[in-house]
Amino acid sequence: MGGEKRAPYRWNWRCNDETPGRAPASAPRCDLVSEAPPSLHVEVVGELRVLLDGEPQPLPRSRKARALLAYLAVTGREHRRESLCDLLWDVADDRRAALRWSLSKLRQTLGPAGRERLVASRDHVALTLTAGCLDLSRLRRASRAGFESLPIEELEALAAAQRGELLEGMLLPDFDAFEAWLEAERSEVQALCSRLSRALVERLAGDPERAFPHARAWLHRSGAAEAQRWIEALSRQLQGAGAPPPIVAPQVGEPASEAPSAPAAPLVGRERQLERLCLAAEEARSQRCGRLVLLLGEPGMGKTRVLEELRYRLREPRPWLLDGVFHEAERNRPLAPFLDATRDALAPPSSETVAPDRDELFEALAGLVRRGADARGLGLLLLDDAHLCDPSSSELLHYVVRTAARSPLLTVLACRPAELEDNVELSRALAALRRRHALEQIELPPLDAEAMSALVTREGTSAPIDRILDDSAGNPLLALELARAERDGDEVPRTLSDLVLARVSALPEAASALVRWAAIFEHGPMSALQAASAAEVGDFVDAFETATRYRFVRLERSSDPSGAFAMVHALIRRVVYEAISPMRRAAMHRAAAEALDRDSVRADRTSLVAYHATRADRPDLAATALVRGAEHCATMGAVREATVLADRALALVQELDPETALALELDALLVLEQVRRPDPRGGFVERLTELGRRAMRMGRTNDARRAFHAASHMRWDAGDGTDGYAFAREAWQASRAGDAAQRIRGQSLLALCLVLMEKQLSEAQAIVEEAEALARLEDRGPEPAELALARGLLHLHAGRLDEARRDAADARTLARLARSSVRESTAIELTLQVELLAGRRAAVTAASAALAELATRIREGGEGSIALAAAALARAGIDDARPDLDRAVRQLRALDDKRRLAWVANRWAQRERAEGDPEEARRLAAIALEAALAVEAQSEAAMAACELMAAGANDAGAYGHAEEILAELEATSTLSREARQLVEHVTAAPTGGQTEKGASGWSS
Amino acid sequence: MELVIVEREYDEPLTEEEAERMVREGSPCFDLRRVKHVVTYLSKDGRRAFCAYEAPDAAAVRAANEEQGSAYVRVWSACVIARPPDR
Repeated sequence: MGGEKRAPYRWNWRCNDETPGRAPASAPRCDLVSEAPPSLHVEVVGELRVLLDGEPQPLPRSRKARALLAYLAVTGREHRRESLCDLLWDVADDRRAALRWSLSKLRQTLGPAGRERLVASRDHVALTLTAGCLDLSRLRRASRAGFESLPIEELEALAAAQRGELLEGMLLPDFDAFEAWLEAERSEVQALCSRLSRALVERLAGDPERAFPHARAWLHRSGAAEAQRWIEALSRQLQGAGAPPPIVAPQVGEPASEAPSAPAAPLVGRERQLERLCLAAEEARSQRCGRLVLLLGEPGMGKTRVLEELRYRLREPRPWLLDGVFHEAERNRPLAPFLDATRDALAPPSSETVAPDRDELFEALAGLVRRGADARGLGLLLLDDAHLCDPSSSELLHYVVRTAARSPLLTVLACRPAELEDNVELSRALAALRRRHALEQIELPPLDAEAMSALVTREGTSAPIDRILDDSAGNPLLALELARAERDGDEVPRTLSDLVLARVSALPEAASALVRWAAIFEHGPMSALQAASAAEVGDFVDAFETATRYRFVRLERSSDPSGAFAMVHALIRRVVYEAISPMRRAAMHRAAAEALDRDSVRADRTSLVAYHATRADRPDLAATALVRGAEHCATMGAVREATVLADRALALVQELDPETALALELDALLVLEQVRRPDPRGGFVERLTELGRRAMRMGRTNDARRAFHAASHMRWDAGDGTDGYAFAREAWQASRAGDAAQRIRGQSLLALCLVLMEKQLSEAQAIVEEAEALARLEDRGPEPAELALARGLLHLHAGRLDEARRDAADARTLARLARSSVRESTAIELTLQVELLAGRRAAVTAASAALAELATRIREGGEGSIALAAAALARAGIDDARPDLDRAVRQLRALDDKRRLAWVANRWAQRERAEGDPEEARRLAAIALEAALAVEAQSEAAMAACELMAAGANDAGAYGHAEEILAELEATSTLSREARQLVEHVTAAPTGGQTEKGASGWSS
Repeated sequence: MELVIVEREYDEPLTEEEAERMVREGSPCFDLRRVKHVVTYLSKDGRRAFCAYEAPDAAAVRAANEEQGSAYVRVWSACVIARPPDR
């Protein structure tokens, strides 16, 4: 019984689980467990670590194995293997094998001392660690004893040992039960650590220097207002004592990853927000923790400018920097800013044929961020226009922030508040992060009069500040435009649109045109901008420099050899864009799409092509780009994006000419089939097959084959064999279209394959006749051996032995002519079957010898075994036959040739029954039935069921089961004559067919 | 269904593109015999490949390869002993 099996492990119950209320009341005390050897130490508060004699041990590379170790260590009790499998593995996995594998890896990690602690029985697993071996146990024990009652030094040692959140960086996003457990445990540990910090702060109140780090840790963990008040009070004490405040302003010096030049003008009116950002960066640096800040502001309020200034201010000591911008045009390119920024840092996928694993990609990117931040002491992840963040980037962002909680990383997301609310995926990710991470929100309000005055004064305008303040409503971008217009003596327009357009018109003609082109592109490679604007290189460079000087466009970091550009401000871009007439806009988008398409060698640029092509009158280009983009997303595992792109492509193909539409529609459907797994019984398969037939009519045989191929697999997956074969047959025919000789050969192969599989036999007969007619008509020399073989097998199936014999002989001759040993062997096998049924021993022996000889010359396969078995069956006495039959069965099992195995086992069973050994006959019939059902060999399955019924007549259960199978086979299949005869014979016999002799008698 | 492994060797090295094309184009022989390609590994020198299929038995894979004209060295059914647990 299960309970009895668990008893030996009951003593493990308490071990390291010192959480009140967890261990059963009857559990023995800890002191019943002997102390683990001092060499083993497992740390779970922070990143998971295993130390042997103080030396960190390499952990298993598998995340599941690490999660298993963590789960066993933290829970500290035994678990049923099944529960662990449910927790960590998919139903589709070989879960128990995976668990075994993981346990073997854990034993390696834990070393000899730990191995004894990892107790795994047939049904249960436990890792028994005493309090001295697990850091969490010490924390829990101290908490139970009361932090207030322990010596301060001991508390400080405990605090120093906390390296971060529980099991930091551990993440199994697809395993909800594990994630839920981890979340709950982390909350508990977070609360414990906060209480510890609080106790330290309160008890060290008289020593602010010692208390301060604990106050910061308390605030970081809990966000408690009380912690903030303590920090302020301690800061005042420290300053009063003449000591520098522990939070220091960032130093200024040389920039980090790149060399951001000093901003063209000082930042105005945003000092407070910038200081808060710098403070957050300093906290991330000094506390080695992740900080997440939302920088919120309406368009034109200076988000981009603040990020620029932040980069500049934090350039010393050199931080690790990843900055990116989300663009409207690239919302369907998953992870665009991350991948662009890290293109050189990440190794490319090893092969295009292998889709990159999404989890691995996330971990690679997050690992890059963590390592960069850890190495430099500070990492900056600055993402502008994050409200345009795509769903994959939202997920990645969540992953990066979570896993970098103990790395000195400042993440700043600059967003427009209204658009942020509309971005469901990003909002959800932020809400999830907010639960466990401090998320600071910094808003950029309208500028006040003083700041506005400073801003516009430097533009050299004499316009009254009050008027500009009123007109711009404190929006610095608008204020600047107003000031510039005033300065240049233009009639002062009142709207931002008029202001911007007036400035664009004032530019030299080439620069003005370039700004319009840049507004169409929004951003992109320089080479495409130049190609679309059809400018000479020299003129283009001049115009670009002018537009840059006037701050309409800027260079962007890019791996593109020609470089990349972007409009400086989205609002200005929109103004310029909307001023272009719709007709001209469409023409310009078309040129942009064509330029990008010509220029594009990378799959990830398809998103840009699609964006422009959908705004131009180029549905063909748009649909092509959308489909390629969908395929790209599918290979990245970005399911949602792939689905959206494929659906959009499908909507567009209706507008295309039939030939172009066909291939694109098929490609889009195949993407959906891959990522969405549509219901195989729904209209999806009909749509695929309709496409396949349309492709056939157009002569697009490869497209037809692809469509039928996908349809057949979907039907098979749904368990619909009939349609599966029908579509597979259509795929076959599609691929064999060609000249007459090719068609004859293709039809012969198809017919042979169907007959060998015992599928669609009437159709196979029709195909044979069609091929024969075509061969006669074309008079192309000897027919293919496959045609004679198909014909012969059909005759054998129908019990026309003479005709089958003749065709087998013809096929053998034709195969020799064609120098096909494989076909020759099939022909001899046909002869063997015919002669066995005819009971002609000598012919069987001769054919067996020929087949055995041929089998030595061809590749591995079951032919030699069939020769061996047939020769044995032709012998008079069963005693002489048994050893060879047994050998043949073993060989066929080893070769995994189920069809031949069923054939041999059935005939052997018949002989045993005829010889009066029903038990052996039953054993062999069971082997035959299992093998025949696995390969859907209906006649052999029916014969095996008959043998079971005949041999197992006294066993009601076995008889009933065999009878059921037989009834189903008779109802759904066209059985061979040999099988039908046996069925009639067995079902007619009152005792279940206890016949006097086997299925056939022998003649010389 | 069985997991069936096909070992292949090439006198003339096969390029990645050729191997990819073979996989992509597939063959109707495979459809009819219910042989479904799972994964292919190609050695760096292009002289050896290792293909995995799902099929009713190894014989179906042998026959499908023969009908397609794809050479192989060995074909055998396999069972999974220790799948990497993260997969």
